[in-house]
Amino acid sequence: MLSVEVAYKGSAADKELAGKMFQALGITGRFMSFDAPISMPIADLVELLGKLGTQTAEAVVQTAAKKNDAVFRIETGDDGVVSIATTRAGKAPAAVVADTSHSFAKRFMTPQPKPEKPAYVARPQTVIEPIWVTDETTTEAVEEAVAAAEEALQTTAEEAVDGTEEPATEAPAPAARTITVQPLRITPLDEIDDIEVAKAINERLPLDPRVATFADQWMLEDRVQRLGRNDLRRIREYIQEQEQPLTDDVIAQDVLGGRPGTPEFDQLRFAVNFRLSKEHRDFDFVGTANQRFWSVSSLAQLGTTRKKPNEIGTDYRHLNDELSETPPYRSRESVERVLTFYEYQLGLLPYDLEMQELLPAPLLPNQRAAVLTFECPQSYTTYLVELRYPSPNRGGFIVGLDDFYNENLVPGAMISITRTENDGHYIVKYAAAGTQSAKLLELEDRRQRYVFRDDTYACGVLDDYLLTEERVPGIAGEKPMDEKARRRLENVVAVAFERIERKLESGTGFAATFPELFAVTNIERPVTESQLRTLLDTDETGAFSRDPEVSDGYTYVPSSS
Amino acid sequence: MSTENEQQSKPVQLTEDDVAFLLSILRDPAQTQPITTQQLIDALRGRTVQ
Repeated sequence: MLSVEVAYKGSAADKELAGKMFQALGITGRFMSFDAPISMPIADLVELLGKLGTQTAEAVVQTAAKKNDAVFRIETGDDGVVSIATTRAGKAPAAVVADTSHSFAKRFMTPQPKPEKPAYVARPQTVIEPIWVTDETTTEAVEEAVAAAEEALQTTAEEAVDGTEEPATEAPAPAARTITVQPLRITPLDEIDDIEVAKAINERLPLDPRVATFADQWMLEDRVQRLGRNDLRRIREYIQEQEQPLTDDVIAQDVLGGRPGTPEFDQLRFAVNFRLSKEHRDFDFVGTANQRFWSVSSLAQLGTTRKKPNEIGTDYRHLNDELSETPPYRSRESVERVLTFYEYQLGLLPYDLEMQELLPAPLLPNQRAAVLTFECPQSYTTYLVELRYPSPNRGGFIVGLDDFYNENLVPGAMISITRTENDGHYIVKYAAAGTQSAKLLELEDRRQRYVFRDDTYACGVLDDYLLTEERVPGIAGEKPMDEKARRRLENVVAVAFERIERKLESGTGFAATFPELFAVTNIERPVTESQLRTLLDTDETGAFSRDPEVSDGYTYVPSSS
Repeated sequence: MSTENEQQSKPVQLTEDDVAFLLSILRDPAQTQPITTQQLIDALRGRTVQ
């Protein structure tokens, strides 16, 4: 392949970026002639650079292009779109200047004299027979054929030079014309499974600007319906009016007038997804493969406002340690859980390993969240919830179950979440039971104090996890722990012992069973059973120990210092 | 002939000719609907068998 040495200017970072820009534009213009302009809108160039492993911004690209004006030209179209252009030769394309020296009007009014036609000279006719080269032809055979053809052509040329201008009476022997056809280089796929082939397609095809793709669908980009500024504005306003994310089906039907069931509807839906995926500033994809939700940044967040999403993510950070690096998404049929006080208060579910195996993977790279629908057949209600995928510093969780919990459950209730064929839709059920009443723990929002209030519930609960006044007498009237204290799990567990208030006979400390500690610790912050068990069994200070007199019991003896 | 059991998880890269072939699939005037990745894979496999 032809390579060009290009000298860049600017700082080391500018030169490196300029080199990457030239490489990226070279990929898209690799079939163009050497001096033909290769132009790309700056936003698309930034995106392509991102796919090639170089994260940058439009302003940075524009600066690098300005500093290397011998290599790049910055163009602004009539619609205000800024593009970067270069050529395969490594030089900025020359500006095209309209040539007005030869106009039709001028030529029409000042016709040139008719040129003199020279006398006809008959030229010798050389008939060249084509030689077709197949895949089985060896290189040597091809070279022999080429040499023979060249010799024949040379002989014909010599005869033409030696001869006079009189037309030849006999046609010379036809020279062979060879066309060298390179054998097609195709990848043998016999020993490659579909997953690797799909990976190869997903890595290579999106680099071609002629190809449009979204999720696992592909079309030629110029066949995808375009959405004008007006269409995008109407879509944005419709989502805002509905006050919740909307699927591509709803957008295509309600905003763009598509009719489901028609052949054009699939194309329109693809156009919605592909075009909106290019509008990063205004639209976020928050869907799954089977339920493709779109949101806008101005929408209110789904779920609780009692705690910020970032704070919840920090509370669940410990879950990241148990997640799989190669998650078997959608491999689990259902998940059963006992609801903790923390989860009940905030309408949450943690994104732990089991949930990771139940739920789908992010559909798009860098997708932060996915909107799911949780249907409760027992209450004939479907809830819109948001799955926040984990990030390196924050754990993942599902938010938006406040109403479901408040209307049907109490902390300690047993629930199950089961998948359906639709990877965005799940069935949530709770264990039903006869109506019961008890004084249960609540956090009074206004005074921010723990209180016990009469409550009636009709769901099955695990007794050890039910937070009654008898189980946690020491918490009544207390405030939640301050942020600094609750950050250390040892502090939270120690406070849990004190709130359970079962003093040791010696009077030096407290005792509690593991289920009690699990339920009470999970009032202040989320903790997994394994995390709590590890803390209690490996405590180096000696404050926590196994209780020899109680099955699965522990003691806490505060240090005297 | 290789069977599915003999297929391995070997990484693979598409050649320019593979890409040109896939583009020809997308350009087919009879293809008015979006094409799935699986359909592209099947087309690639069908070409190498011929």
